[in-house]
Amino acid sequence: MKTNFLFFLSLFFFLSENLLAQDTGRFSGDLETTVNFFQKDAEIGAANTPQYDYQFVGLNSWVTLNYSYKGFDVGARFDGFYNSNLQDPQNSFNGVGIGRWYLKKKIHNLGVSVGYLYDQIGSGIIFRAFEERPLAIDNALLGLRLTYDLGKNWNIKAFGGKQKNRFDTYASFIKGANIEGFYSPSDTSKWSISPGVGVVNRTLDDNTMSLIRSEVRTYGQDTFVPAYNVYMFSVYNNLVAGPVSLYIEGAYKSDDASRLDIIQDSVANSALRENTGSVLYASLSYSQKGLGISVEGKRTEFFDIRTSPLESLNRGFIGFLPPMSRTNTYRLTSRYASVTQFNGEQAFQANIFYNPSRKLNFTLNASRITDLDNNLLYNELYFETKFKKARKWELIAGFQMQQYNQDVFEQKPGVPIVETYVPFIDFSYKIARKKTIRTEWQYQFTEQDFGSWIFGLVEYTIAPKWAFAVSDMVNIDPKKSDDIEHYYAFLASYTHKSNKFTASYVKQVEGIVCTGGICRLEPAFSGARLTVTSTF
Amino acid sequence: MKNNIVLILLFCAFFFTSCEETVPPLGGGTGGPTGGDKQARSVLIEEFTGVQCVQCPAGSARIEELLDLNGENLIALSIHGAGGFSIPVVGFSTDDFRSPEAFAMGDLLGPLEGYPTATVNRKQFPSEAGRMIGLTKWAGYIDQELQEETKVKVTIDHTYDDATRNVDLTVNLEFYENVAEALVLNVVITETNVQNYQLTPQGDDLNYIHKHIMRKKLTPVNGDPISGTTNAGDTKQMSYSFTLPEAPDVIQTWNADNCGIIAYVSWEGPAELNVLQAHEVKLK
Repeated sequence: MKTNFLFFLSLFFFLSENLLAQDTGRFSGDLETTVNFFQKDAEIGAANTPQYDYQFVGLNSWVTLNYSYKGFDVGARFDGFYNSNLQDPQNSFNGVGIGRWYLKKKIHNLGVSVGYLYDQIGSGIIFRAFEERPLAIDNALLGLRLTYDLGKNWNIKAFGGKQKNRFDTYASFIKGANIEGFYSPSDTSKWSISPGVGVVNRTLDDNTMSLIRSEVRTYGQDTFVPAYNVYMFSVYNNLVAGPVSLYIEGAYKSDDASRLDIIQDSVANSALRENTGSVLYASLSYSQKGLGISVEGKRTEFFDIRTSPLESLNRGFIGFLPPMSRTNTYRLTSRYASVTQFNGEQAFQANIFYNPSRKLNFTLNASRITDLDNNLLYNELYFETKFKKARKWELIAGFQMQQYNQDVFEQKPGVPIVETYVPFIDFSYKIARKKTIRTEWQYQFTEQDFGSWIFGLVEYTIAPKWAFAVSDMVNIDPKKSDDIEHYYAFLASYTHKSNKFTASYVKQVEGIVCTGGICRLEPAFSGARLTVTSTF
Repeated sequence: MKNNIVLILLFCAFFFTSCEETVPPLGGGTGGPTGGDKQARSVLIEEFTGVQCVQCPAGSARIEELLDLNGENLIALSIHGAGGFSIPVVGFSTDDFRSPEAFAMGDLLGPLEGYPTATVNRKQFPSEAGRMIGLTKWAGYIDQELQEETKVKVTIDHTYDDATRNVDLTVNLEFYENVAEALVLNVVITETNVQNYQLTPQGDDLNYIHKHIMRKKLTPVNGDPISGTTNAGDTKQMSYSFTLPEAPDVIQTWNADNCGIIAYVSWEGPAELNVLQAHEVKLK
């Protein structure tokens, strides 16, 4: 890591020295810093972690600096975590250093990139190097990538490296290649195809293999000889024909050890088993003026591909399986969200968007996810309508129904399927040219988990600089306590040009936090939060 | 277009060519070095658990399997210091396995990340982010540690008085080779086969059998410093005394028949806390 950083720094200064005398190039960057002040509140479960017990303050910070000059792109990102609960909400993590550096250059048709790289093949099923800060996921690949343009519409790519693991890397070596392109009979043709083929290989290091061999050696009749290499292939194509588009991707992985929960003697034991895997994903959409319809389907079987079969939780993902339920944004409609099941899932989703006029639109979404034995994991029906009255006011109203398998998604044994019914309304009213007041009201009826909730929010905005909000989420029919708990929040933000400062005081209930189907259970939070974001 | 299709076909043909691996057969475990008259190498696994940790029974079950496979070479300690997961459940739990030292040991050895989790000889292995390790790696690291030479012999002499429930014990150390690092001795009283509440994947289990519970740490959380030189041939004796508590001083009287003593020598730290050798005896 240190060697890499010194190399990068030398290169950075070399370029700067040589370029300052000639041309300025272009600097850009961004900053994101969050300081959490933890205030113990055992009543809501915000307790018993180092932050609540004795650390009291935690910080997460990312500062990125990019520089571009005559086709050269270089950049670095400083990552700082002090008493951070981001990596593991139950514990504290400290680490400071260069979280990312990179250098890119295009030499005629050849593109060269080195450093920590983000990229994907197809929809990401067999390879996706990405960052999701809310979940502390940073799967950048530290290595080399070469791309080559094969004419105007086709390109080929090859890469290799090791996946980032906080301020280090995982030991396994990942490499892959991808060719994809675009074909249309003519510039005026109504149809086109965008096909692609990708392959990824992961080779385990000797130490990891030694651990796996020791582990499977203890399995008796279930033992197997683990392989160093796993190969993943995907073939995909996007067909566009007039208003219709059809995306299909099929992926396959060779025999590989993966973790399975196996019930033995009434105990769920995580054990390694060797399986081939597959994913089939298709998305059909139709759109014309004022109307959009899409239908998606996905079937997954044993596709938990990581830097090592021994990794768990949200660590070491090599691929990414597209989520098959709506990404909700309102507080109570997003309280329960489906969690991607890598070892077995079949899912369908349909979405209709209808916009009869500029003032009015409707959205209807339905999704259903089951395991491979057809046991229900998630069901959602969502309806939303938006009505705008000139520039004076805007009303959004809707209704959501969900069935959520909490037993599987949150590993809470024996709990029933959570069924929710959520009507919601969001009303904005412009009281002056720059002043807007907005209010949200949501009611979640459920007999399970914590019981029913009501959420209310009032937000006052003085454009473009100030925003103030106050909200409360109340467990009006508590099933887990005798008292009616309030989870209130106060927020103020100030924006000046590209800088934004936000201060909030929050009491937040335990719940699932998801980004693109990758989720984790976040414990309750109590305390204050300061956030600074900036771009330059 | 045609050229590109040919290229795609070549690309596929190249990568779809099967690659047969040449690897040695799995075979059996190699076991630890016998080392002549030396005490056999032992490994300590410290599991962090809690009665509300639904994943933890899987870890405990795995430890039992590993104990069966490794015999006396593996010593297990279950520390109920898994944050909020260790809090007893009102109405179900009839004992409390937590202790201040359990949480302090979590702070010392942590951070805890995901369950089941355990340390193997308190070692931070090179490819790991911390000392806490998930259960599919335990067997491998135990195997690796068993390959190491025993550097110090640890034995325990003790007497237990049924009438007073008092135990007097002396831990004897005999160094087989020079050890440059500062060392500490840790001594723990354990109780096993305690029937009490545990959350499991099948729901609330009121009759769960808890094993290897750390009941009391007789030494400080960081261990008692081993004074003097620690060179080959050096011997040390360190003595302790303790009375097993009874209700109502504790919620449930500790059953002396199920209690044991674990002693282990480790680096003082703070950077490295590796365990050199451990030894376990039954109280009765």
